[in-house]
Amino acid sequence: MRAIAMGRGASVRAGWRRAAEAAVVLALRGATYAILLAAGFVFADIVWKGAPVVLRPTPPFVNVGFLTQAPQTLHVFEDGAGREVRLGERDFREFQARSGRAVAARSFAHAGGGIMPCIVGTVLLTLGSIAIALVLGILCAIYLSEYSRQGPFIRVVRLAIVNLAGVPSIVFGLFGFALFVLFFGWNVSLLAGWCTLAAMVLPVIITACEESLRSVPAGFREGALALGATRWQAIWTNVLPHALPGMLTSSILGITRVAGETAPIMFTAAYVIRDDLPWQGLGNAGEFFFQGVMALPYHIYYLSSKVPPNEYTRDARYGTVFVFLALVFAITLMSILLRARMRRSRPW
Amino acid sequence: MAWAACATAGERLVIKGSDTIGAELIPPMREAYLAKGNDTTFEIAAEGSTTGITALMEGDDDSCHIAMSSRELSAIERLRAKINGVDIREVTIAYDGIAVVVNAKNPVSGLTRRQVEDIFSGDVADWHAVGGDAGAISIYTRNTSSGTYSGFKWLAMRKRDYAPSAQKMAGNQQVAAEVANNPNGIGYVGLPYAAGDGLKIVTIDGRAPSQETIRDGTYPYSRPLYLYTRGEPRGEPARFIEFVLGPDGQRVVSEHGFVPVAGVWRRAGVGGGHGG
Amino acid sequence: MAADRHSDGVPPEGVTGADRFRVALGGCPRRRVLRLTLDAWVRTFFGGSAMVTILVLGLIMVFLFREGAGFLPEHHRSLTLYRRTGQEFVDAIRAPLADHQALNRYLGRVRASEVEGLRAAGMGEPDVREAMAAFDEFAARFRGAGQLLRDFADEAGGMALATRNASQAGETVDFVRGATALRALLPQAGVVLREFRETVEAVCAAAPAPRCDGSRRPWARFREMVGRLGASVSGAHERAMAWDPDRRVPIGESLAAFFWGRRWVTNSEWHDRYGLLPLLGGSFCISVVAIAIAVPFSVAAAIFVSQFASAAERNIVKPAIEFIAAIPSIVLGFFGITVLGSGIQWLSQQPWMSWVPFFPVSERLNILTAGLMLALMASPTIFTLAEDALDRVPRAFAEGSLALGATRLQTVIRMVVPAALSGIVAAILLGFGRVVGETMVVLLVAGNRLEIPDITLGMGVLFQPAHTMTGIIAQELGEVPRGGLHYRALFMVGVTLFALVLAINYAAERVVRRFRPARH
Repeated sequence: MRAIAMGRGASVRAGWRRAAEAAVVLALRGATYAILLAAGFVFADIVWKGAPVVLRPTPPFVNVGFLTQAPQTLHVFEDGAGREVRLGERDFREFQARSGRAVAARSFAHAGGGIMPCIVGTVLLTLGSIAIALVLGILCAIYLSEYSRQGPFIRVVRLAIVNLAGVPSIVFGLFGFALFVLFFGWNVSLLAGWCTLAAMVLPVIITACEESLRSVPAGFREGALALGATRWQAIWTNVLPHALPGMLTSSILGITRVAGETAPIMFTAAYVIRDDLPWQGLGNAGEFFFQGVMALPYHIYYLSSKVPPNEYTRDARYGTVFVFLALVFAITLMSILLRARMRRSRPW
Repeated sequence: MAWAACATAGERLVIKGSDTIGAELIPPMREAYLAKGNDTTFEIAAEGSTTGITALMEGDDDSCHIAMSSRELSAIERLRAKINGVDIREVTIAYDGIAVVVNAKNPVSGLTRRQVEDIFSGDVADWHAVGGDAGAISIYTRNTSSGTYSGFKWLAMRKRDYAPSAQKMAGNQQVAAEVANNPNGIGYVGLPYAAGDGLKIVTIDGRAPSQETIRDGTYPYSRPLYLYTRGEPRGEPARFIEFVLGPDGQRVVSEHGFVPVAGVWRRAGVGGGHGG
Repeated sequence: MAADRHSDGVPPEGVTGADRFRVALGGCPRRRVLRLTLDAWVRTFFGGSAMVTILVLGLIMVFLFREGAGFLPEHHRSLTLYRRTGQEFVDAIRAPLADHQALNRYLGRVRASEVEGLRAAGMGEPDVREAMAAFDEFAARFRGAGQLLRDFADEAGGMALATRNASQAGETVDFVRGATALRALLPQAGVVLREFRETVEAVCAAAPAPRCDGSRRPWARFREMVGRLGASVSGAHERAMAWDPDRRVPIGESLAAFFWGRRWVTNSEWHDRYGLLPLLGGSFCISVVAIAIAVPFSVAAAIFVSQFASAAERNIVKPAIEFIAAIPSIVLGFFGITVLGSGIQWLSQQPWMSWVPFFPVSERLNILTAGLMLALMASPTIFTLAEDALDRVPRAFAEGSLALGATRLQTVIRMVVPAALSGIVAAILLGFGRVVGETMVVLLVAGNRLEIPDITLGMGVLFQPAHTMTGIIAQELGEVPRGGLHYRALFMVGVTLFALVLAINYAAERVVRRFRPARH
């Protein structure tokens, strides 16, 4: 009888346990989706308010003015019929000239026009720094994984590289400011920004490149060496072709980081306003490298801290964030897709 | 670098310094200046008065042409200029009233100078002590490089330091936004920023800041805004400064809530009516 | 390309890249150019460029420390000047005023709880005001008690300041005369300090006792703090007497004043202070809040995705969470300042939320807002690393446990998670490191108050603004004169941050290494 009671107790307990287990799993799943929901909310808010600024329902489907103009002052006034009109600086001046009188308007700096110079600046900063980081990073990775002999020095170097990958970006900004802007006297310039950003992603890229070199089986090298090839020939013919796709993919991940960072370029490359696009108004080619640029992340910082948060400036703020987010996500998506493709095509 | 070669592509004008001037006054000034048919390319960085003066003194001729400042050069800066052998010239382009603002819901609408000092230096920490509803005062100040930050210390606090509980905001605009959002907030902003929604301007010793009270000096917290150059301005900087001081420039000044430089104000009145 | 090259197992026939390279360099790879083979040249080339890279990375540290190291002597000079001009003497006299100020602030809290108690007792608004009249009069008298001391200190401060300004402007200054003049004030200072103490005590003796039970405790605490004010006054007098303008400032004090300094005051007309504690405290509080929020969610998500999710769900959820890592921090900061901060404030002001302690909140930029945004940022980091760690637990562990009749959940809790614990702890540490180093979110959202977060408020600390190490660098670096003390102080903050993050990463690595599952 006692055994029967125990058996029943056990089955009841088992039922409870199943229910408890289901509840726990449900909670775990809930937590998972809570993270996604939170991120989704941020994302949705920006798309909801930003997409209408940038996208259009009719061809050409994008707000050309927003993507091709420089930031301007926005003027808000009432026209004769009592309707509220918002005009950028240029249009407002034309309007005044046409109406032949001074129009009383409220104006909001940076709320009109577009963000073309910021897009250009961000693209330039990203491309340049990635180019520098990639060249140095690949060369360094080849040396570390193919040529260097293991020793205390190389171990220290590896340790330094791994640790630098985790150093906060503002510290790189501090360093770039001290070394490039002040010590080398490059001032706030494209070149200083490139070097600072390159230094920031260099550890990441070296680590990733080394990993993708190491993933090439040692047999490939040994086969070539056994056939009498020199070490360089073995690397060139049997290692690099297999490692290169991986290197490039990981470098795209580096691009996401470079394009998204604000702190390192605040003091090294970014201007609040710059009328010229980077290729305009240059006396000689050298000047190209020594000019500051506007950049999307810094512009967003400026808009969110120094421009009044009201309905008139909302379009400029959300539009900029939307474009920036779209840009960064496009790069990220590309890297994820590339990585997936590469994994599928790896033969070993 | 190769500065002379630049001349063909339109003059370049680099302006750095005060956030008050650089975010609110220089951008419309620039647009008005360009509308006059000048072919100039501007580079404007507005991170605080100190930055501009520093750039002017320590950069080369090309890295900063004009520094904007909402305060006078400090004794130490003058000394550094002397040591560096830099001749710094100053010109007043407008007057700016610093308005003390509180949240629109706050019953306090007037303070004495003494009370303002007590509040910002932390001696008084509760609204109740200055006649409002009970609640801990939240102080919003500007970041330390701002000319307004030190200007206000000079004008209103007998150079005392701010209470440690003061929050440092990136710009006038952020101060205005936070005070408008915080029923217990108090802050100070340049006059053009004080008109925002949710804000209330506090009278000081019974006087409210306005163009009149600032010009006749009865409002206690007002200050001149300066432009600085290295040596006597020549070329493009000189032309721009001349424009700023001229009738068109001074009209931009008053349109954006600042007070024009007194002498020029009358001339601007007479010469007004130029189409933009 | 890699695939089809490899499909036949050997490099394709014909001209390979190496051939072309060889032709370009003129024939056989064994041929010597300047007595070195091509291979040796290539090796040298790679070695050289690796050295450049390593040099760059080395320069980072060198420059950080170079600029930071200059802080010590310069700060030392500043502290020496502070002593010689007699500012130290004046600040000693002034010290009780800071305590007095804190008491004033605390009195506000006492009043708030008293008013709350009266209201709870059903008193109407006018009655409350009337009941509080006596208290308010006392508070005003208490506030006024410091006036004489303040005026006295201001006057003495003026003398010290004149000496300092003259010295900073490069004039030759007679420090001895200034010191003699200040020391002559000592007897007066004693009188003023005593008077201050007596006034405070007299005012407090006549204070009306609180009526509500709720405010008894804060009131008792207030009386206790007033009692300590006496000690503070006599301490001030002693320190003023002990002031010796010619005593050397030990160089270690320069360092101590940085690491243990409780105030960060810059651009002061009186004396700049560079104390790390407010920044460190702010960074720490915000990061702890962020991690406390992020850890339950992201670890749960990691357990779910690696142990319970179906392959299809896993393939969607995992990249989606990893995608979050790609959101730039400035975007999160933007969201925090435009949406989240106001949202929390709005929520806290709703009547039906008033039961929550510390609601309604007045600051919309505070530790919690910043912590929430940073939690979202840390989640993908912690998730990815923790999930990796869980995945690495050998299948045999789980299978053995299941074979013994344990349920899936039991297996996960008793076997898999403990086996992966070191990896999860390391993931949390690395997430912490990432959050501590984050700049843009805290710069925009944390509220930038340079005060050590007041932990005595309990959970109320969540709704206080704070400043951070990263934030102060971003906010002030662009604006300081190059090479000055302030500039170097910011580099010192950078060096501290650097060391802190390295230490965290190192700890994470140690954790992983020490507790690696036994399978190795």
